Amino acid sequence: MNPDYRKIIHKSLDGEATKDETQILKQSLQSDPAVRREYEQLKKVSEDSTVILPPLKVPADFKEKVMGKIRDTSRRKKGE
Amino acid sequence: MAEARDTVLIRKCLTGDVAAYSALVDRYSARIINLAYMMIGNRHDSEDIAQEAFIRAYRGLKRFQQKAKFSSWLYQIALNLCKDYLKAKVRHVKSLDDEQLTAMEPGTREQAARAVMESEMSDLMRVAISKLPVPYRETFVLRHLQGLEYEEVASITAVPADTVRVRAYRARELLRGALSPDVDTFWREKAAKEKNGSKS
Repeated sequence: MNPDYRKIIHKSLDGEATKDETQILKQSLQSDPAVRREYEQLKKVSEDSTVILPPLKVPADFKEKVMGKIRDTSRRKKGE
Repeated sequence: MAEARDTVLIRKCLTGDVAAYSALVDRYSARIINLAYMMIGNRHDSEDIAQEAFIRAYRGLKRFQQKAKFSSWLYQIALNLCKDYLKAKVRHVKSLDDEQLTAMEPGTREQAARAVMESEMSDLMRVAISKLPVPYRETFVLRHLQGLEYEEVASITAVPADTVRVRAYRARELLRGALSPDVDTFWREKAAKEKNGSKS
């Protein structure tokens, strides 16, 4: 694929393509299956990555562990 | 808005109000745990790294320059911990280099279409991310999984925004190479399932 097209695809995925670039890309997406396939695949691995990778939940005791360690350090500093 | 709220909490912490810090832990714990998990690929250790990041941030609050956002500074601390962890791990396990990464490109992977389960796709993506070189990995995770703007990623990773863009482009290309055709199959099946689900 023409490296210029690839750059426009990435800019478009980031919402940074100019009007002219968007127009060029639209035409290519309609006329060239290779450009369309690459665009769709890049979109799936970037924009849609949060659907593929749902975030981990924070363990229920996480905050308590952090705050416990902070309080311990503070107490030690004060010499309690 | 969030920045202003962080500033208020940080001021309280600096006057000795330890409890104010728990609000910051609440606000950022999911982001930091997930950042660490995607950087190192180990759930248990990512929680340890996240804990350590919060503790170090608390200890360093007096030195924190409030010109930067608290979240950016916290991300920096967590990323540095992740990099230290990965360096220690590399002593035992030789990581993939760029030459090996090319083996992930289409043509060398099995191309046969097959069913891709949701959990399997997550695993495939996690493995592919873990094989990205660290600068690409951190850029991809911050930009796409944490949803940050390029300028903020640049500020966290201390590289120019244009370099961040190039790293993001390269990371996406490598992931596309590693994950096609599985990613196509996954989305096709997901769309079909959703269509059937909406009919029933």
